[in-house]
Amino acid sequence: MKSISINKTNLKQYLIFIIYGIVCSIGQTILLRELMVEVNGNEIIFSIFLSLWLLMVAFGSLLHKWFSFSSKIESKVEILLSILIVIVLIQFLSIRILTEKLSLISGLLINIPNLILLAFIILTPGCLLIGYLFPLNCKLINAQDKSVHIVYILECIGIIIGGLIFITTIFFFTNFSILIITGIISFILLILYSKKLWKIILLLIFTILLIFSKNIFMKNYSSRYAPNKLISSEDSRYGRFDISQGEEQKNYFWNGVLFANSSNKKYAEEMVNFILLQNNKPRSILLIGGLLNGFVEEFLKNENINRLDYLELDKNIIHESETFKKNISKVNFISKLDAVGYLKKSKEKYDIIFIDFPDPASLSLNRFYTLQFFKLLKKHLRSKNSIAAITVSNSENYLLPELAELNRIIYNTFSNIFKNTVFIPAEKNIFIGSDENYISNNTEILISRMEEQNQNWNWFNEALIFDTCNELRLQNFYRILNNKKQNNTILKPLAYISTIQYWAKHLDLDLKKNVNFIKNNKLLAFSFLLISIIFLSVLFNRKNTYHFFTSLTHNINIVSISLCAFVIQIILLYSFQIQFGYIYLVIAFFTLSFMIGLSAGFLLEKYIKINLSTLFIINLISIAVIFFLISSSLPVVLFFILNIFISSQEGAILAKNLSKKYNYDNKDIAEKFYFLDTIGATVGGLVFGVIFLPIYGINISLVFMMFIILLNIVTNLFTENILKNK
Amino acid sequence: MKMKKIILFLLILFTSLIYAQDTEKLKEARYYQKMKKDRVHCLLCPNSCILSEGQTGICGVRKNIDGKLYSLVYNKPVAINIDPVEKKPLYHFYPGTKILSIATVGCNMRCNFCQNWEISQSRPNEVKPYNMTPKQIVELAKKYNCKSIAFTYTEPTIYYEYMLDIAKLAKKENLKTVMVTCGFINEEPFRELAKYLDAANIDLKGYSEKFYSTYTTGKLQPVLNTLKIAKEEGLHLEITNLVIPDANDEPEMIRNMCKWIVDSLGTNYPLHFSRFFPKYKLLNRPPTPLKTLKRAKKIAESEGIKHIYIGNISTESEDTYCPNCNKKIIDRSGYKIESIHIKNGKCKYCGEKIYGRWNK
Repeated sequence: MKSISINKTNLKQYLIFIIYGIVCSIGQTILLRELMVEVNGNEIIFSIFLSLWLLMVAFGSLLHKWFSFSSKIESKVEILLSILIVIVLIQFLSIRILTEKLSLISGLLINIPNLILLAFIILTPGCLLIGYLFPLNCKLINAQDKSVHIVYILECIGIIIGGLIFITTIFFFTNFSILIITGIISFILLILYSKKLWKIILLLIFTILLIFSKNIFMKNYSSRYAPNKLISSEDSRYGRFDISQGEEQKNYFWNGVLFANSSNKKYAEEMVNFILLQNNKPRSILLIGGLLNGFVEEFLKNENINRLDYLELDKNIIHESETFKKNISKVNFISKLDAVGYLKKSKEKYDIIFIDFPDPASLSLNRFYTLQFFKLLKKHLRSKNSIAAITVSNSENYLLPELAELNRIIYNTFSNIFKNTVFIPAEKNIFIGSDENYISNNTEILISRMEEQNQNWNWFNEALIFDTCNELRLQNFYRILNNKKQNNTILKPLAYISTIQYWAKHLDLDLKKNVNFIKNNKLLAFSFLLISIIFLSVLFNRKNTYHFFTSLTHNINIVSISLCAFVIQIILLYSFQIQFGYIYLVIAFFTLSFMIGLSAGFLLEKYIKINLSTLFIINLISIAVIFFLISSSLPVVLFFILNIFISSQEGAILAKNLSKKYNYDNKDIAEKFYFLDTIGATVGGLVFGVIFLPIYGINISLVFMMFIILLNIVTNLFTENILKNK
Repeated sequence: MKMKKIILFLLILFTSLIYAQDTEKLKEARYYQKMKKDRVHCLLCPNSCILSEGQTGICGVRKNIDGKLYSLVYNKPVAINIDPVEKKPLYHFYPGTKILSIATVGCNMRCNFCQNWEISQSRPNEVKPYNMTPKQIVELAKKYNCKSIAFTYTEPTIYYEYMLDIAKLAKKENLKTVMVTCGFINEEPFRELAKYLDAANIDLKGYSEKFYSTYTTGKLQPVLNTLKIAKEEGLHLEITNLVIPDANDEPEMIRNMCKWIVDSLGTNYPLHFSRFFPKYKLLNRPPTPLKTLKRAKKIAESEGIKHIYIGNISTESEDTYCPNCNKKIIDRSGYKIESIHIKNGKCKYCGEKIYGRWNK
């Protein structure tokens, strides 16, 4: 293997790879983020987008095989990089325009084929260029074995810088402005590389654009809410909070999903008062959710209540609420911790704990519907008479099997914690738990309690109680709820799977049957994955060479390690989300730590005198460690340490394969190597992100990966043996 | 060899017996025409489906089996509830009474804002229905002291045979029947059905063909025809218009709709402007602002419609006022009737005849 030392003449040239890394990382983070908001994406959609991104990048690298430059590569790289910077901006602005064209009607859910088409059209130009630039960058240094290492390392450094730019600017600028700032930084660096008039002109254009960037963003983005007016759009570390207004009504959107509006008093009256009838003298309340739907105001109408703690992480939401604006002394806003964190740390006890969250459409939301969480809830109830209540989506007249299952799983999990549980099939199903039998859904009891309260409601009355809890309606629900006994837990997120199935039903997709098939055929599914890895490795193996098997082993190594490292990053992200409740900001930190590890692995490879099979054994042990650690609550820093640790192993294994493979196969190595690396991650993202993780959960997915690594150990031992014998 | 043939023969016989039993259980549909090559032409609704052997209509519940059209949902309701009659909405039809509401799966429209999409867009094999004969439905209504039975939630046209049989039986048992419909039904079947019905709430979803084609896959003209027929057949009629922001809430469209109602049906029929809530595929369209609904009400008032209500939201516009003396004659609070000041179908204060069917 040749040296990877960096001399002064190369230093300036290397700048270009750093710029490349910066543009790639920020472009990816922001474009995927915008796409997710635009289509109300969940984790499945994110995995599809990410895989599509990687796939297009992989194909971009292959393009180099057919369209290549042999002269003036330097200036061509510069021009292509500048085009990339401009393309990313155009991609950003096209998201809104194209979504409008594909969804046909504003506010309409975009169906899966159109969703993939949207991502494909938006992502393809930039991704192909990113992929194409990688082998071209390698060519630029003109020493391929050296270049792939160095380009990897420098790209990583660029990604780290990109991550830092994103983290520091996100609180002050819109995503569109961050892209322009990235462009400005990149053009300054490109000018440092070589001064040319066109670069200075582009720098000036970008600087002018920055001045108007917020207006351009708002104009482009506000069409999403037309004919209503977008009055604000704020990014916080947890997500995006938009407010639109039409005809004096404010509508609140979280990451593009409508979750509340300012004229929802009917909903607040119904939900809150059904809860209040379950406890005769509530004094202290813990409320999570429903702030902008008017729940707090509705609770405070009850004169017994002298303290209401409201939990909300995003201060933008708190500041928008009427309660906050009125500064009511009884209400205490808590925003430092999420529900899990608060319930773990706080010693407060409450008469009523009421949680109105969206359905568990993500693993982080699933936490609030688990056995573990309900146990925590119970610890904070003041007395046996105190109640905890949660809500789950309902469909008034008939529950689809998917929605019925979601309700059944959560109801069964919830009722395992309390001596008594009742449900109220209101606009959302309310599950109420208590250790005393005061709670009830009997219409006569509820109506008599309501009459005792002697309050004037607009909507909440005996007719509504009868309509909601009449015998026939309750019978229908009992038929559904008291069926199979299954518990929802953090590591077996059954409620999450049901929510995804219910979401798919909106898009006319029947996932239930497929999910059951995959659930019952683990071995078949795993075999399919193994065959895919081997197929890809064979497909890109050079035929009729002396080292057919060793070269194939290296291909398998590259695909497998890229897949595993990428999936472990996803698992760490999921686990972080499960434990801390947000990932919006930390995605950048995860990318950062991953890239630090990867570059370190690449750099250290030449100093580590161990063979591939030993490296894979270390990797196997590392995955086993994660397997045992992942179910316990880990400190934040450990997530990043584990990420660095795993990615450094990937770096070292990739570098080792690269240096070995170079000895056998010295043509077109950059694009092939890059393709296999990226395609491995793509398969990982798709298979694990979309199928295995949601269906099998984290533990089984980790076991699958251990088997993949085991396969690599065996193949490496086998080829090492062949080489020895030769 | 002989043995094999016998086994094969028995197998075929057994399969055809099962098959025959299956079709025996199904109810042959009404209003269809047999065509050549075992095809059938369904004449129930304006979709006018022509179905080859094994095909199911747009509604998903009427199937061509062996050249005959069958209803797949006869005796198979999926939703049975007791509702307040105000929930249909029917504000002038025995107010304060209970109504047994039933529905099967399927619908002859594909509205992307459907408020009951879980049932309407499902197929018979995707749900777990009850097994209830018309007689059992009537008995259930009587058991729960319901004044009437409503065919509702999904589009009842698609379970026409079941609805017709229940309506016939209910009439004998002195129970009222109500069809809550999108009005997308052909004239002949509707006229036959109307003879056994007491009331209809017809959903006039919007007043433009463009709206119907963009949001519902249906057509406006057949719905307008159904409204006229309902009047001609003497049904108690109320009209609902779900006001969806940026879809059918333009003042001009609402004015044209009200003008048509006044010109073609008169000013008596109650008109309900319902608040839209994001459902099914139209999940990110915000709920209708109160101001929009109030504006719609004002337009209807200016066109001369006597009874206009705003539904799905708590307002003073859910009360009934006498069109003559303008006094409150029905005080409502949500689904609850606080007081009624109507005697023998007339305003207690001025004696003005109030359109509707009233409790004695």
